[in-house]
Amino acid sequence: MKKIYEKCDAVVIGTGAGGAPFAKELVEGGAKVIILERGREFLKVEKGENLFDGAVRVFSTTRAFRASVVIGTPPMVVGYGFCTGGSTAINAGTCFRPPSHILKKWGEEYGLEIFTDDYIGRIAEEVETFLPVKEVDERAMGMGGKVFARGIKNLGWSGGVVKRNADGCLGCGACVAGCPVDAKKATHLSYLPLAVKKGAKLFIRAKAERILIKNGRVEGVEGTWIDENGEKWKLEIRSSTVAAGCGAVHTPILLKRSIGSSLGVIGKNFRLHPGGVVGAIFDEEINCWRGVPQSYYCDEFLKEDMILLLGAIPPPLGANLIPGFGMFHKELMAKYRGFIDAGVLVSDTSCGEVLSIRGVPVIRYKLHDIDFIKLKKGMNALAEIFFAGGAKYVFPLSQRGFIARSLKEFKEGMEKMKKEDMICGSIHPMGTARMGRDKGQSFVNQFLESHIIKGLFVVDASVLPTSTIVNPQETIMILSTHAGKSFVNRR
Amino acid sequence: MGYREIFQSLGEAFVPSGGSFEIGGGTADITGRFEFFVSSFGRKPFFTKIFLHLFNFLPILLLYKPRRFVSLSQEEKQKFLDRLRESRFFMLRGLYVVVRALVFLTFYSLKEVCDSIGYKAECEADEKNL
Repeated sequence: MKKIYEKCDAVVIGTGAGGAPFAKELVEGGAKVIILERGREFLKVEKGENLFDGAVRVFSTTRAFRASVVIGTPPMVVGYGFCTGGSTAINAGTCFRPPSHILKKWGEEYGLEIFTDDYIGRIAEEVETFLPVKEVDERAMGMGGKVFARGIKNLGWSGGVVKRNADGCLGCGACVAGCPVDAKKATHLSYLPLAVKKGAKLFIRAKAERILIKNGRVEGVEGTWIDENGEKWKLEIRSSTVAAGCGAVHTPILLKRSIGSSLGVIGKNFRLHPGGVVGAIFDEEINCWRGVPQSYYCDEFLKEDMILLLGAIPPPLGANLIPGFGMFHKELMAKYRGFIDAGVLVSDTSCGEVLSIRGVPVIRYKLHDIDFIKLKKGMNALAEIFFAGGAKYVFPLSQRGFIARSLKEFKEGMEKMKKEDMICGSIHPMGTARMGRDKGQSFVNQFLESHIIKGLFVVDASVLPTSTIVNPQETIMILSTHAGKSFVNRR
Repeated sequence: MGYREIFQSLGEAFVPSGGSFEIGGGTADITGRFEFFVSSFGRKPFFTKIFLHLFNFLPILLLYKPRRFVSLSQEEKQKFLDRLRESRFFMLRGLYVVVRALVFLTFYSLKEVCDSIGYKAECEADEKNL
């Protein structure tokens, strides 16, 4: 195998919500940066293309969506992006700042006093101006958002229009398979091209095999790269700074391979941010596939560590949400124009662990009863919103499933539901190289630099000491921007 | 007996013909759709074929009838699927979820079915649609 040898000031591994902003800050601060992205270049659905077939084309070509099975009760799947842009390429573009009470908890329980509302607010302002982040345009919201909002308002609950990094969105609903008009500014359309324009060198389909460490200091990265012609090269990059932004599943695997698994905290504290889904059918026409999928939220239960968000799934997926089969199921599917779904995200107290078998992630996680109760409460709240909005049928996503025609019926059904009946998943893995002041309980400090390896940074969701309750992409961008600025200032 | 027959038989059990729209899982080209998905990822449906052939023999265990799934009556198929869904064994409930997902993902992504339920699958990224 031929070899490429490079020297630079910093290697950034990963181009998602963590790696790309960090690289941009360093390049703007005058550092020579090399970026490694293990995945392929992301594509997008084209205007006029069948959305489902377009998604199949995009994902089969780019292999951008990866999932790891989570062993536990209930068994779950955690999904994430594996391409340029990371998970920002395949998400709905939802942006939330971290809630104040979460920042306060980080300060009080983990010694992360730097993250005050003011400090985070200043960096958030910068991130939101750069992308930009704006509320969903009412014209792009679709009937789904309006119906969800109606239910929330009828209950007198607190909620609002979602903010997204998708200024100029035309509401076609293709977000997760690539915005056809590039309105959704995932990091591969925002931070990454700017970093490259300002001098960063980018290797796509480059796998970091090992971070080189000697005498408690980073020395570089070795790996492999597959070029545009399919030829494989060995990579050796020498640098005094390495930032791991591979995501909360793959960063701990890379760290363990590089440092050794004797370091207790790596891979532990795995948070799933589990979600439950509830669907409903209304008599009115909603056409949920039109408009922004996640356009409205309810934060009535934020202090109870839950957020409720509208979803929008096309019929091939929606059919799996409606329980049962046979003619009754078919007749409900015939009413799909009145279909809508929404999800609850719960900040979990449960902790798991990311292990690996020959580089393949193996995740252990057991959902605590307290988190299961929260999930059920959140799903009950979604049902209440739907019935308040005028829904005729409401049903939870679960293995056996049931269809309720009233809130009372729904709550009775949920009361009987056991943990092993749940079908819940996650697209927000977090916490596996968490930050904190205590060197025995955390891997990185408040500047996201390792406590024990000089020059080693972790800049992705791995650093989050607790779940963020809300969608984490903006929090990760804020933290990695903070880490990048701090690094440049201290250089 | 090929896996096509087993898949179409499952299709008919999950989505019978008739009702608000005539087409059902037994007559729609769900196998062709499935093969399109799998071949898009550069694969062949080898393990799915084995899985479906094994599934075909499961009624012997759950209904105590020495018959394969494809030879059950529509009522017996639905009874069998109900038993899978309500099983106290997680693996059997998981099987139900998987075969159901296979049928629904293929059936409800067919153009004629989408037209029947009023779902417009084309990406309408145009300002005039706002």
